[in-house]
Amino acid sequence: MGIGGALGVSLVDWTNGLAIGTAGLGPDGDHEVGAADATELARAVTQTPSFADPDTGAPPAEDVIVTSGGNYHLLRFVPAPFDANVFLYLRLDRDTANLAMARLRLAAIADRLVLS
Amino acid sequence: MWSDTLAPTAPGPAAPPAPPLPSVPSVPPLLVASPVSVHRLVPAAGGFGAAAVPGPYLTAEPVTAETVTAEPVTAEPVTAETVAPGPAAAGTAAAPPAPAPRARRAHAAPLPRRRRSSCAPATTFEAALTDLAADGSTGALHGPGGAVHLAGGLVVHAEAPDAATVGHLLTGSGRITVRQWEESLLPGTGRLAEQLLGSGLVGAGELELARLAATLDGAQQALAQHDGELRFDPAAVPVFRLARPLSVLELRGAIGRRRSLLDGCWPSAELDRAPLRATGAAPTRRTAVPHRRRQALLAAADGTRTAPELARLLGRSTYGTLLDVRQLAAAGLLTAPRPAAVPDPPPAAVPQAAPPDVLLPPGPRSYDSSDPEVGLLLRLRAALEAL
Repeated sequence: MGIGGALGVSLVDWTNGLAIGTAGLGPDGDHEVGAADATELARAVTQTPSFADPDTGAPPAEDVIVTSGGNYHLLRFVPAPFDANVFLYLRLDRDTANLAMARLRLAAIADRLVLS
Repeated sequence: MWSDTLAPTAPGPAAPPAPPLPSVPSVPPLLVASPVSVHRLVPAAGGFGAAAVPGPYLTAEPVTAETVTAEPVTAEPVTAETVAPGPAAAGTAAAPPAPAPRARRAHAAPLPRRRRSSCAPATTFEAALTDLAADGSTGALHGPGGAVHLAGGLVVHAEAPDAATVGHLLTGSGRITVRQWEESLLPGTGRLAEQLLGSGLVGAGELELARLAATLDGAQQALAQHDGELRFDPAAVPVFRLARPLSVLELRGAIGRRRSLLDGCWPSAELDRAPLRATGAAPTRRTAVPHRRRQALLAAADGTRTAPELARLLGRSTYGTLLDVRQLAAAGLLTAPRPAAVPDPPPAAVPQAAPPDVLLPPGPRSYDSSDPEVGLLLRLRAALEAL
């Protein structure tokens, strides 16, 4: 939650919609609903061949970014050595956040998450 | 069933499809006798909810707001600090009904069990597990096809013969060697997690992910058991414990979503237990399965191995393998030369036989949760059940 403008973050498994860990506030104060909704988005991306990267064997997508009038929503898929289908879901306040910086910071966190 | 399903969820976060309307808590539960009255009450409650609801819900917000700005980044949201039901979780779990069911329980004991259709467990195993969890039991519920471990009514571990274990996941993926795994076992299984973390072989976040994957893999098969003798062993000690235990309701919701994702790819469970063979044909459509995983799966599918065996061979979770198998089958790349020898009801088939009004039904075709109106109805129902 040290990312500038962060409102809330959760670690979500997109195969089952569980919020494994949370910090800050979820959308409308509810991380569980936010996780379930973000899961639908993550599934749409991971299960759609057009977004897949079939040649590298890497995770199908890196980020999903959704912008709205007041917020940025940033989904970052976490690379895991086994079938852990998880992503970090970060919500940012659009007025105070720097989307590019936040994306880089979130990517670094996602990488550390597996190693640590 | 009121208290049965609610009691264990009270300390943890609320039901996964998420009892959505924070305003519902402010409605005195007993006033809500019918869905109709809820429709009327909810908007009204929403109006004064923010101002009128005292207690944890409001107090939680300032606290979390502080943590948002003041706390340093936690690299692993899976640490104890974030996983423990923090202020935010307390907010969501300001489970409105906490007092009501308790009072009701005292009186309701002699009454016949009320089967609430939307929450009714789909299998005998689920029913038994729900009852045990409602009593805050500790121990393991064993069936012929898998076991689920409870601690204080919360799910801490699950295992099944066909499911991947933490050991399979860590060693099969090459994360640690079999030798390192065996050495970690030496001090005794009770200290396995401690040993793995202490030796620096595996990170805490990674271990929790592996534990969760293994637990859900086991639970998916265990929950589908509908016949066979069930046995509860209060003395059983699981090899691993989830750092963040799941309520039974959460577990059932999670398994339901996993099944619906599977059935969305290929709505038949016939491939789950049958030996698989690569067809060698050109794909009839593109798949989202990464190239490397696809090649590995197709190379290993020799007409004798079933999906769980392929998962073990490749060091992957059974679920992840099944997901790929179904996608490849949908693209015409994999087939089952002969149907599964055992005409057992495959995992997804049993719940499908249940009435379609199960919470987060395993049969995914019943509801399209992406439809906002259906989603609203599901959330409304979840809110009603939370009362």
